[in-house]
Amino acid sequence: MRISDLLSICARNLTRRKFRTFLTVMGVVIGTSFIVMMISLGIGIERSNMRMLETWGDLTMVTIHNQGNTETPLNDTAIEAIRAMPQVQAVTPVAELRLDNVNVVLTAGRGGRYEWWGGWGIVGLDPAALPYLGYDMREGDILPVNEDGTRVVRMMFGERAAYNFQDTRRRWPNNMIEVWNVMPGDPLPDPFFNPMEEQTIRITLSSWEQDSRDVEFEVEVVGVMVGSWDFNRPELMDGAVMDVADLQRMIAEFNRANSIRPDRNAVEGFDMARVKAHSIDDVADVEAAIHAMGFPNTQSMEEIRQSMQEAAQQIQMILGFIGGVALFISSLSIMNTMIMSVYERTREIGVMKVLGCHLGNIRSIFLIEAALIGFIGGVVGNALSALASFALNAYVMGNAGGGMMGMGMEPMPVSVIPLWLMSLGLVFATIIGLVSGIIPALRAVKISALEAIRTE
Amino acid sequence: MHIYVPSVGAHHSLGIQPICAAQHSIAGEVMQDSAAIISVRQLTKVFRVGSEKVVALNDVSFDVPKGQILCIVGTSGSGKSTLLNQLAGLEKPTKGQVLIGGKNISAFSETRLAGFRQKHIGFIFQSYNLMAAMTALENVSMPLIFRGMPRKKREIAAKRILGEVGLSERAGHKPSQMSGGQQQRVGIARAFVATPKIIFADEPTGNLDTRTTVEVMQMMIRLCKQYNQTLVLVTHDTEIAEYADRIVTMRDGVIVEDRVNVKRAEETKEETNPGAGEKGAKDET
Ligand SMILES: Nc1ncnc2c1ncn2[C@@H]1O[C@H](COP(=O)(O)OP(=O)(O)OP(=O)(O)O)[C@@H](O)[C@H]1O
Ligand SMILES: [Mg+2]
Repeated sequence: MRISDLLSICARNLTRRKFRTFLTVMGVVIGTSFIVMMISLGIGIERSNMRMLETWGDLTMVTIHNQGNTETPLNDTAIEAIRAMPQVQAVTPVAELRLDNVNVVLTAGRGGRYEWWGGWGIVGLDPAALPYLGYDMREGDILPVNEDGTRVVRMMFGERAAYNFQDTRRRWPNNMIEVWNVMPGDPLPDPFFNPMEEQTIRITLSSWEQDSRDVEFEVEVVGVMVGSWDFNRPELMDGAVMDVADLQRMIAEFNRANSIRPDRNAVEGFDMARVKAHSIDDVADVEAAIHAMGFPNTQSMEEIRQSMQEAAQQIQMILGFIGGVALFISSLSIMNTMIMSVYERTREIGVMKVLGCHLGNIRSIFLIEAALIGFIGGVVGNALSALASFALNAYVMGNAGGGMMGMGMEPMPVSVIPLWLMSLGLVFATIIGLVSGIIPALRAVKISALEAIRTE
Repeated sequence: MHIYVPSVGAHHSLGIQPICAAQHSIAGEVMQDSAAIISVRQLTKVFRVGSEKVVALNDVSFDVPKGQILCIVGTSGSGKSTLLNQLAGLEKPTKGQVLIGGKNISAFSETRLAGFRQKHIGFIFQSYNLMAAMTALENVSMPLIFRGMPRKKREIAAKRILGEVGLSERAGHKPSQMSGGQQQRVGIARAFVATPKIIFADEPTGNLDTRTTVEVMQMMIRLCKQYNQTLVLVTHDTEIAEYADRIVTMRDGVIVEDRVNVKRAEETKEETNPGAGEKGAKDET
């Protein structure tokens, strides 16, 4: 028999008992849409977990804390060794502009009218590593590697660093512009001055001690970064980034001006470093390698990411299992329908055998009919779950305008149906149909040709 | 047991069977027209019902030459249907052989039997057995569908044979929209559409009135003679038996009489081979 004839005979048989076929198909529809919806919810959970973690920080970043570690210094040699690891894309030391008994003040405006005391959040990084570390610029350029040998201290400011300056000519509360309550993405008020255009920004290191000498450096702001609530990188919002070499030079000059000798017993090296892995999957390896080097104190999103992923996978498994049970029940219903159909068509099958229909063709007819039920159920089930998914997402995202979801997150879809899930649903439903058809098909093949002769 | 060969010479050339040219070869072997197309050898069929044994066929032997119209008659329960089922390979005998074209079909596997029936056998049922969901044209096409013949080709063949049984106008009708006689004509068209070597019919007129019975019988005979096909017919109606070339009578699973229908033989000879009647009558003995 030709495939086209087989298919048309099957289609005819299915349409002969429309309501029964409809009911059986509905079983598959429910099963398929159940399993697709369940898995899609799992994927939705996993994706929004990832997004949430991403807003907390770069998932491929490992931060090394080495303060107080007197055994292994986090010096240039160590940094180079980390850079040499194959899974590491970039590494930078993180130095803070911090010295005992030293005040840091940035001034700007005519006569140093605007002052930023303390300089908290200003970090020295390796400019060569910056392009890999996810610094997005709101204005201007990323901090360049110092190739021209300028002694001007170049900085890129955090999104809100300009609001750290207070106007010394005004009284409280007008001497500050408050921005802490402005949501990310919302428009910010104008600062007292635009740091990108200001020509007269300086940074001064000074000491309270008598006869101490201040050292002062000219500052050029090359860019302003896009802010983020990355807990590991406060510089993005309120701080600033400068070349770690400039930072070391400033401290050295201050020490020289005040004849301070570095403490010989003090631990050399940096307190902190940031390591960027090539991909999320490398993070665990990189972290382990760093531990092996003698830096036990590292921090990354890896652990929390993994535990969240495990939780999401568990939910997905449970949901998928429920869907599987639904599909299993629908397979019983297909089998029941097909066995009924074989029973009803006993005489017909006998006649076909007498007329010389090959056993393989009879088997195919029943298998194809069962597979068709599965296939149609799969198609409709996919359509139904796409619809349900759309409605669910529209509902949830419509309800999640602000509130909890604030903190820089747009609402995420709760149900995600990728193409592979659709195809999987369809293939699975068809296979379920086919498998459910095996027993009925074998029964059909066993029917004797004499059934055609028998008179009722 | 070569009794009588009717109309030999007039209808056995290849050109007369246009739809299936391979008709002359059964299971790959070219058959000789004059040889017996069906040979039954010591055929015995025993049914077991609980602990009882029912001997439906008891050591039956006979030959059917090609092109013969054979009628099996007998009282109810005499084993006619059982014999026919063995001949068509629908059931395996308890003992003995059925040779068709020299091949022992009793030893064929189910798969091989299906292919064999598809190529060489047509079957007409008492209760028509048409597919309720299909039109007359589709019903007639069934054997050709099983052969994998393309749609256009098989519809031409099916329409032609429907025309021959006088149902051209009913091609698009479902069985439920036709009378019993019309349904049986569709059944006949279905049996003949693939021009099989042998046609079996079990009480083909059992459900029909007298007038329709005559119509249907004449139609079957005409079609058989047209392509020199062999017809084995089961009936308990002795009037119908008069249409056959040869009548076999059964009782309790054995053949009690096997005679040539002289009247019919004379007619046939006059129709097909005028002047050769004397010679044919001598062959008989
Ligand atoms: N499947 C079977 N199981 C048991 N006995 C059977 C079976 N088929 C037929 N018989 C018996 O075999 C014998 C012959 O039956 P068969 O059907 O061949 O008779 P028949 O000549 O066709 O009768 P009728 O004219 O009524 O159709 C009967 O005694 C019948 O009861
Ligand atoms: Mg009978």
